[in-house]
Amino acid sequence: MTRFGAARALLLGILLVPLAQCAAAQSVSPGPLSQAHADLEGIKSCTQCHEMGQRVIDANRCLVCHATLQARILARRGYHGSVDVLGKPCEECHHEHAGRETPLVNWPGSQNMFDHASTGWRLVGAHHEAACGDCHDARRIRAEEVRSDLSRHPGARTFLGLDTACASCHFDEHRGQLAADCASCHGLDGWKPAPSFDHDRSGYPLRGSHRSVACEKCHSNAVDPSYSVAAFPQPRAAAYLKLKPVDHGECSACHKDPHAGRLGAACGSCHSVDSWTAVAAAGKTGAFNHDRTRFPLQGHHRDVPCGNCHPIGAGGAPVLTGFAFANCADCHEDAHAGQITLTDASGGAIDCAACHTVDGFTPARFTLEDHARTRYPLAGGHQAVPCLACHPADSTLQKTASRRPPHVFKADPTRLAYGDRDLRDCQTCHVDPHGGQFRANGPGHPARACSDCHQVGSFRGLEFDHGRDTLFPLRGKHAQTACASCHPARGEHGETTVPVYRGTPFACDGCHADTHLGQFASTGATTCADCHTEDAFVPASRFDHGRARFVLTGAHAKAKCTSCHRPVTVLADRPPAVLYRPLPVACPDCHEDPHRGAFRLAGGALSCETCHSTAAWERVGFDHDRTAFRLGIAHAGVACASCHPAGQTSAPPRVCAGCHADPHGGALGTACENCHLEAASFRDPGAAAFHERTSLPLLGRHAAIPCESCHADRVTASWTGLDPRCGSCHMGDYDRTSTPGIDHRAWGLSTTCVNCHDSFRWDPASFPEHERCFPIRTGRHSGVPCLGCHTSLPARPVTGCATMTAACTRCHDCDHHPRVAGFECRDRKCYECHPNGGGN
Amino acid sequence: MIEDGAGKMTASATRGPDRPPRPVSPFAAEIAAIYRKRRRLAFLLAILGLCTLALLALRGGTYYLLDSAARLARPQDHELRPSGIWGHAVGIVATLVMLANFLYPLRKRASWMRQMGPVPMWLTFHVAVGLMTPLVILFHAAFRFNNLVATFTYGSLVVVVTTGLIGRYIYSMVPGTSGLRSGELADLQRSWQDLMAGVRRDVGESGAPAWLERLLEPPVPARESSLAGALGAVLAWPFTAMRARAGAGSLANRLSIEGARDLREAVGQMVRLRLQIEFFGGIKRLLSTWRFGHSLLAIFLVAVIAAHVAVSLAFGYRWIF
Repeated sequence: MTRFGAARALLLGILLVPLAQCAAAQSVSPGPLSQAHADLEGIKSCTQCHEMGQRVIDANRCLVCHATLQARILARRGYHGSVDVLGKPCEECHHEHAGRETPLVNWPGSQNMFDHASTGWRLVGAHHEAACGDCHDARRIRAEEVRSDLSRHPGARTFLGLDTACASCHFDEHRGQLAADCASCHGLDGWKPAPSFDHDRSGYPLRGSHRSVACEKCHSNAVDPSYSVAAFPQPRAAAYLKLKPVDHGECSACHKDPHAGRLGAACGSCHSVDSWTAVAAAGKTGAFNHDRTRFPLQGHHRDVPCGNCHPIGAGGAPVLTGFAFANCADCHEDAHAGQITLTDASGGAIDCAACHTVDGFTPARFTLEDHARTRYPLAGGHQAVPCLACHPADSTLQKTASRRPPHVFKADPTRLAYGDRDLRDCQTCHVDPHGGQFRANGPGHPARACSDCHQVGSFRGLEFDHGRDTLFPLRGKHAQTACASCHPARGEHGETTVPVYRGTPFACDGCHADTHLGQFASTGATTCADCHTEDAFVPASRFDHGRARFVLTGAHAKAKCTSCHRPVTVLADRPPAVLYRPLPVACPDCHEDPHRGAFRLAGGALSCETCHSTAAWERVGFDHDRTAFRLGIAHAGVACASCHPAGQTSAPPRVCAGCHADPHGGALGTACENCHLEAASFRDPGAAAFHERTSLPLLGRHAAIPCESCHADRVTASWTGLDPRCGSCHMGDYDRTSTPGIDHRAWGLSTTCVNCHDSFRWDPASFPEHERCFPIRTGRHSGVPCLGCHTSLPARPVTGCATMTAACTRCHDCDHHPRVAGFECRDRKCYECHPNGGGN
Repeated sequence: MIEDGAGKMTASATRGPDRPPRPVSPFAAEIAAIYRKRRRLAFLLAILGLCTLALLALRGGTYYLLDSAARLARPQDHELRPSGIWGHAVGIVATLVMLANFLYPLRKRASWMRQMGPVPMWLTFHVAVGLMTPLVILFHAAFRFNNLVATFTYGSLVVVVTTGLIGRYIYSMVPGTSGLRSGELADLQRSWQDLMAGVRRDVGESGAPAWLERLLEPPVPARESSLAGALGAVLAWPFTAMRARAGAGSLANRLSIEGARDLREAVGQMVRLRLQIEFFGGIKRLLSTWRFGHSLLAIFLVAVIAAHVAVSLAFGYRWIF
């Protein structure tokens, strides 16, 4: 083969290939057509859409096939008939030659962003939320022309042909019971609720609670026998509400009579459509009287909604009968969580009514008397404690659910029972403020119970006796001292602690500082109580100077302590302390010798106490009788200086005349002491003692009368030669006894007065003669006047002891005299049996 | 100075004080200048082409990576599609530039174009345009090949370009086509002798491997070299030369660095000369045949392009017109 022949062959072969392909559609097509236009493939079909020489495809060419769409366009219906689309080339939205799988519709943005309102059917409510395919389903197409198109083009998809009527897309769930105008009741936001539905347009306007009743409560479900899962549109379910007819003439048509006919069939007489619970209001106004039931409503029961006690039963009606209501627990939960079980006297359980009333659970009627029957009767302050203080709410307690809620107690049950806790122990509830000090902690410190000091009336009302309950009775100032002074509640570092009671020191130095700086310490300790009392440190009332080495007597006892005990400074850093011991005790150690040593003893020591005493210097304890001149009574009262003038150094004379002048002029000699005793003064020579040496010792009243009564004046009187007989002085007395008493002279009584009278008692006389006959000084007749027994005086004539003037019967009654033999009620007869005036 | 088949001026294949230098063409300087200009033109055209491709890529962005359905959703689709204002414009411009490729053969034949620059410059232009046109047309087609006419057109273009590349290779194997060296057989054989002597001298009398001995055997021109044989030898030459150069490299330990390099060059040239000598007539006929086929395919390409344009015009795609 030549070169050119080969070239021809090559050229021919190359050209044959495209020529062979010219008949194929893809030779000039920019790409395969869509599935919808697949039958237009081929070069012969190009001009069905394309006009040669015209780039833009004429829409009319498209509408030749899409006649259905053309009709809509001409009718200005649908999306393609809208203003937005009308006049636009088809290819602007529908791109071809992009392959079988490429959608023929080029959605602006996306299919979901398509403005459905441009189709003439704005998507509102649930329609807006639906997917395109939910509505644009071939099965929903109603337009015949579109259906015919689809029949001619199986598999084709179109958005055309739908009807805006509800029934065209939605299944009539009411199964034709209602009108076909769904919009008369339903909205576009959803089937439920049906906002436009007005039950009042029906034959039974809903009033009161009927308005809130679910439809299915009155309208029962019916089953659609023609239901099929494959049906389109698919019904929601085979069941549907039976809307009509519904029996509604009587209440019983829907409501079950909970009263079982006991209250009649006229429900409206008590109930209203507003609420079943309106029965309570009706009951109050008399429409329904709950008192007709077996449980009349009282107290708060009147305010309880009916449903609380009458729950809705299985049938949807309130349960009115068949449940227990006799006990509170039948409705109310046990707010005490089973802690308490009240029993009556017979041991039977008591209902809540024992403490609570229907007027309210609180306040409870549980009184103190009721509490007294518990394990812990309330006494004292416990009676004033709020219940919750001891019985707090306890969340751990499980309440017993009531059989018929919702009457529940929101609060947690209170703790009522304390199990086996010892309620006698105060610390069960009370915190020990003493920090356990009074627990047993060794010998001498036994355990003390709270009740030993405190009482239930008040913790502050103590029965605490410091003297009885402690080892340190409070006396004196201690009793007035504040407790905190000895029992501080503050620690060493200022922290606040529990007041320390036990362990408080008893000794004085445990609280008080020794101001004596140990002067009185013995074996290392000072016993303050030896001198001081608890009333006060000053004065040291218990201090007895007599126990000291220097007993205070006389003026020493009156002297101020500071006179002898001066403060001295012992330590520079301590205040001065009074020096008590040792101190000098000799007189010269404190006092000067006024005698200038005149009374020094042989050894040179002074013995002041020989003469002086501590009573007073002036009160010299000098016994003059130990001298050569005994001081008598008269001399004892004489001032020392009278005999011992100052400056006289010699001893004074010892005879009377040495100091006294003789007033008798020597007539009675120089022995003054013969009359003038030393014990008396010159003016009172001690007559009683002196007279004992005379013929008339002064006895009785004679000793008390002045000397001048017998001896004229003392100076000139004659002291001797006087008659010692009574008559010498008392004759006048003898003569003056005529009245009222006994006339001595007339009676011829002796002038020896002493026979009846003595110097100790002149009157009454002793009358010894009468005593011999009839005692009148002693016995029953003593003190009786003479004329009390004698009818006259003198009582003469007297024969022996018998007298004619004695009138026994003047006093003595004879009626009561025992009838004795020889009795005779006659004066002086008595004397025969009663010589001494005695009884028997 | 001698020139190898690629137009590269090199020194003598071997160094030696006793080897007389080859005579140099009196037009060597002028020819060298031409080749310098040619290389600069090639560089500029390469830059221009790369920038054009970059511009087209940036303009389209990720559009070209999308499938058909996704492209429809893009607002760029209206412009970047083959019929879009941008895509269509790219196609028109690329076609016009590709038709300018025919200026090269016209230059070689038309006397009135002799003043329009040397032929090698036009060849460079022809090669650059030929290489860029298929790449630019891809952007016109938006990297889609749905239309058979258009796809066939593109395929024809690729074939023409491919044949051009092959022809450019064959052209380099034809002796004397560079203009620097005579294409006569005697000259080829003389060159062969020179190279052989030099190799013998470098290798030494002993130690030439068998492959080198075979290579050093004088080539004998074939009386009738077929086109297929020549084509096969030409297509095998790169591999033959690579093996020969590798073998020369194994002898480098005997020579200095420069000597080893010179040996490799000499061996490569000897392989080339052997091919040229043995297929002296066949290579020329091969080139002539290729030229004919390449031209024919190019004419056919033009016809197919015309058909593609006619179809587009028939369907109203007139671009802005």
